[in-house]
Amino acid sequence: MDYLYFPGCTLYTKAKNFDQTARNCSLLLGFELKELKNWTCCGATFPLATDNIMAFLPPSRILATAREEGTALTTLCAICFNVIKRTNRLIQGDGEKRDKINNFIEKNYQGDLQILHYLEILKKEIGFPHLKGKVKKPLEGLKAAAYYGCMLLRPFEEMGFDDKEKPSIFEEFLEALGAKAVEFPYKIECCGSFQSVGSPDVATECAYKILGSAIKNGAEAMVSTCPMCTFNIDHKQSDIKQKYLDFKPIPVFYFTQLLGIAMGLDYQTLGFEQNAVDPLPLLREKGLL
Amino acid sequence: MVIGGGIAGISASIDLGNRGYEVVLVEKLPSIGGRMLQLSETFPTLDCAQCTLTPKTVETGQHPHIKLLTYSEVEQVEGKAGDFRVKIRRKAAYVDWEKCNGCGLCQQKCPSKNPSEFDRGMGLGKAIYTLSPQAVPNKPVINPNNCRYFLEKKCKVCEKICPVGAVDYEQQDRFVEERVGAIITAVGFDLIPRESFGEYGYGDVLDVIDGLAFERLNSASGPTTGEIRRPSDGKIPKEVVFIQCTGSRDPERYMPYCSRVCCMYTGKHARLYKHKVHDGQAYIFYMDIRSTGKGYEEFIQQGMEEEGILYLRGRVSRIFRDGEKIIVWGVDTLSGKKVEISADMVVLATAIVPQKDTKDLASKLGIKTDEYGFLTEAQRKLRPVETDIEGIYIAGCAQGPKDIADAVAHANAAASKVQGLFAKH
Repeated sequence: MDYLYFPGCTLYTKAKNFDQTARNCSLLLGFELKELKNWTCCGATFPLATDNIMAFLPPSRILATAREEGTALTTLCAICFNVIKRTNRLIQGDGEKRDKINNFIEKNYQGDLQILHYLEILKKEIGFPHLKGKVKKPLEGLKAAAYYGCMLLRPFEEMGFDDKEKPSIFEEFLEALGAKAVEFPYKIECCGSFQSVGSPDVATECAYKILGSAIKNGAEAMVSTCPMCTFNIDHKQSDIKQKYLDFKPIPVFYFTQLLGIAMGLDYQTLGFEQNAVDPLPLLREKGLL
Repeated sequence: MVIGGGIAGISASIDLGNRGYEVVLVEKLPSIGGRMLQLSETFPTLDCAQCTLTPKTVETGQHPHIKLLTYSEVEQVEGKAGDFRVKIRRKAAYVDWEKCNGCGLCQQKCPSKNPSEFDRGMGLGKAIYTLSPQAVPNKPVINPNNCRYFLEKKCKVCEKICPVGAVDYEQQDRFVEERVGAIITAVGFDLIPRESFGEYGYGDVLDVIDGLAFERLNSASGPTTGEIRRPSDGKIPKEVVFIQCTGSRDPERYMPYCSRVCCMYTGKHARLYKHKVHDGQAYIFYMDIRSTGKGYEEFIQQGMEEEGILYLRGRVSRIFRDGEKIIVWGVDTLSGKKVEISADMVVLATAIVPQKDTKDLASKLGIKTDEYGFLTEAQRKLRPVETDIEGIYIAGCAQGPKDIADAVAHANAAASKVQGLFAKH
């Protein structure tokens, strides 16, 4: 089965490795990510000023176009997922906004798309037991911390992705690949998000707490679903190292990169050159290359 | 008939018994005393709950006009005011209470130890047990879910040791019928389970306990014989965080109502903690302090001013374990700052909710419950103990959260309503 796929801007630039690994793995799992035509930026934040219709237009246009092509839309980036899913819910539930938005974009979209995250496809459509059966190279001995961040889960009433305080889908995924999922208390805390632009120190501090907590609980690597989080917890590790001299960097993977390794893809196709902290030494040590 | 042997039910029974009316007191548990028996000390006087209550339970047990039917539940109610016929299930205790002399040998020798419900899962109880050493009646029951004989068909230690041959593994539930003129329903309350709170770890974070558990920790008859030691490793906690309104006054997620006693008992807990751990620090997160009772406000002020309890006005958003410590993330809305406390123990003042079977009992009696399951009075202001059915009255926390003094007053009122009814007919 094929899934209509919205990559989003970052997956075309900074997070090409996320996009490519997801596409390649899906083929091995028996489905194709069919890229949405003429897609634009999702808007990057769900607007909190509810009377500002303009900010809802980019995600609405994406949704309306997608509905013309199919009944479900999938994304990878946690922020895109958040914006698109919440906008969809808004259009579904708020008739007045729906009419206004449709007037602006000259469409007639009713909010009846199913919005799926890639992880949800793996869990609900493929099934983790089936995924486990497809694994060629189990990630045995790898202790990885599943980092959810905020955007997949919150606000809970709108996202309904997993348990709001104690989600487990990501850990189940890692266990299916044969890795050891490390529990750590900061797994649903904010990475600092866009603060890394305006107040970099704030974001660095957030990242340090998240990484420190994961490392303290035995993590050798972090796993992320979000290019924003990845920027803060991967690319910011050099800043952390400057501030905290005893900090030892650990690699941060997109979950699809680990999926790629487990599915037996050649590591040279997994885009590790885009990872800030080089994961190859750890993978070599674990015999996973 | 009085249903429920807590402080409200006991008070109503004694009132009516003393007037010469024959009272049947039905209690679900093996002995009377209710929630109050679990408490260590009571606000605002800090006197020992058991010392105040035990004379009452003993009086009830020995009263010539009160017939105790403990370990019993109401099955069916028929009839009307002046002539109710109530079918009661007397649950199998697996001990013949007629023969049992309450010597307690069986409890000493029973080899099966399990977390005690009375001690909120902290201490170990035996499979053959009484709720407390001062239980009224002082007769044990066997919990077949924990008993080795019932589980594995071997053991029988209690049968062998019993000097009067009272243990009877073949005992079955019995049904009795009582005919009474009026019924007072005083079935008490429960606490919303700690497992309900995802932000506080769904009950999985060690050393995060509820208010009743703290009462047991502080009680001389509790699992630590009154020393404040945290459940996980028995260490004396030096930093304790108390969180008021856990599940109360939270219309979006839990209970919208105020549980009425938490401000007072949390203040009491913090003070009792300070009395026992002088170098410890107690923090209380609160929304407002509702100390509307005689001597209540003074009691709270004394805690703040003289005992160094740190009150923080704000909510706690998350609790998690970090090694030995429990990290508490909250906010102090007076200073506008985020607060992070590295605590040794956390006590949640969880919301008062009705007993699970209150609704079921209400439908047997034909009386109403509100949207939360509390029993509904005939009129909110002017008829607070009557129900829509003549001859059936309510008392205590079954109607809504109350402190001990209010529950007793409510029970006294119910008892006088019964006397009024009987005088009329």
